Amino acid sequence: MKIQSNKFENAEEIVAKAESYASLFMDYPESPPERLFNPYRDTYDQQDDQFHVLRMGYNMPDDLTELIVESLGLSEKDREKDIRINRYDPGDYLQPRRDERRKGIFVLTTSVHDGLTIADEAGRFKRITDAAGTYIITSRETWHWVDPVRGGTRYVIVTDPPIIDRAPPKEDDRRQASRDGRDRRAAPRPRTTGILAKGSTAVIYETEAPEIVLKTCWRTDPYDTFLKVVDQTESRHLPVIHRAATNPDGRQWVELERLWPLGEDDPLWPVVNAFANYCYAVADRRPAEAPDILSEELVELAKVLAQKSRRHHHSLDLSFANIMVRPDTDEIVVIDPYW
Amino acid sequence: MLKTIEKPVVVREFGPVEPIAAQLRAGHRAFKRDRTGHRFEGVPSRLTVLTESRERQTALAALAATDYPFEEHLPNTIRFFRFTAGEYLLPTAWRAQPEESALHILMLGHGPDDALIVSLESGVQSIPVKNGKLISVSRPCRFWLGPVFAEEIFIAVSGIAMDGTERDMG
Repeated sequence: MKIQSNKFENAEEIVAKAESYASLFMDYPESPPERLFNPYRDTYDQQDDQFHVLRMGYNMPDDLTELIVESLGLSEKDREKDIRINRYDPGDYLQPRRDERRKGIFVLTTSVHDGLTIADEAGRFKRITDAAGTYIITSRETWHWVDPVRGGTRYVIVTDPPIIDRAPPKEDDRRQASRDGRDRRAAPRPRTTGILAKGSTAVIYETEAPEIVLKTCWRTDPYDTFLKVVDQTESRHLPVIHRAATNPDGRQWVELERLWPLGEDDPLWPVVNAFANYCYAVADRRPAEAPDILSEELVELAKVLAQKSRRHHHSLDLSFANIMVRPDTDEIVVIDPYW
Repeated sequence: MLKTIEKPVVVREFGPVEPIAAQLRAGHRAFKRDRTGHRFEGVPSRLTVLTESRERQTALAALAATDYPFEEHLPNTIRFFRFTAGEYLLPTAWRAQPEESALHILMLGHGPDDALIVSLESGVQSIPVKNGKLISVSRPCRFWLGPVFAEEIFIAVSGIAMDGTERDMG
């Protein structure tokens, strides 16, 4: 997810013109849902949402289209994207949902009450309060929603996929890319490395971001583990679900119940499992030998995390730790704003 | 009584709640990070829960001294949640078990910019957080709160599993 303030200037003008076409907005949903409400449902579908849409190329008038194109600096290719204005009247909402693709959201109105609730890269939910001019790029499969609007009418422009700046790379970057023998503008390509594990391979994606080729995000607590591999344009969430249980002697243990979408034959599978269990063993001061498949870096990392957890939480909680591997030095960096 | 509830969501003023809120504020150190329940698609909510303790017993006693609708819920199934700024309860699914029971959420604290969201078949309701407000829900629903703006909010919830054994409530 990326958030950029003051991305564009004339939100007020866009809103004023959109308001003049209020009658053209399509109500969403068009008809009430025909199925029973299920509080456990997956929320990919939008039948329960409530807002109004003006869509470029469909029901959006030409002058409004041109104003948006000019205001956001859209190229001819951008205009081929699905671009729409969503209007939320007071009480309108977007139910918790996630999208298979990333989206761009240009916020057109300002409100202290209303905004987007969305999970960040670490899985922590935040509320991005509406401020006109803000541009948000969501990540794939990220849960998000809009609570019923309490302030005035809320307007946003949503693009699918997001509008990406195409500023030419800086001269320094081009020279560095040339020295590296790779073109950073090329599509991410996988390579293998021994950084994560000895005796196994992990897929690493080179990215355009000069400082990071791989970002792994371990989200573990005694009951589940997430590993996220991120390249510069897409992210892959690999949740590892453990089932907790208690032995007759009262000791808790965890059992690997589901590893999705990793299969058991995925090279990352044994690494994720071994690393998490080793971390807990070290944190709990239980005798543990590092499994052979863990690299020295990960063994050291487990000790660092255990030390931190003892200092701050008294029990291991990796829930929001970001672990990054730098491409130039292979250095493992742990970032957690809450430690 | 629950059987008199006709609307799916009934909101009423309840009180006085200050003795309960005072107990919770005084006993805030007994609130612990919840690691078992209140997950949404596997992701944990960010809040703290009043664990079994002297502070919890005191708060329950204060609640029992009111006309809180305990009818179908044993007092020990009441959960006290504490939210500080930025914390949240992720969408939590609820379905009546037994069928005639209801979900009760008592707000203890004031959050002028915060609202409890209840999503039902008939739509989504936003209920501003106000001290002493009691919300009773008698239909399958999904509810959530936050991330909150207020410095500190407590809610007492009855009608959901206490031991974390229920399925992920997302």
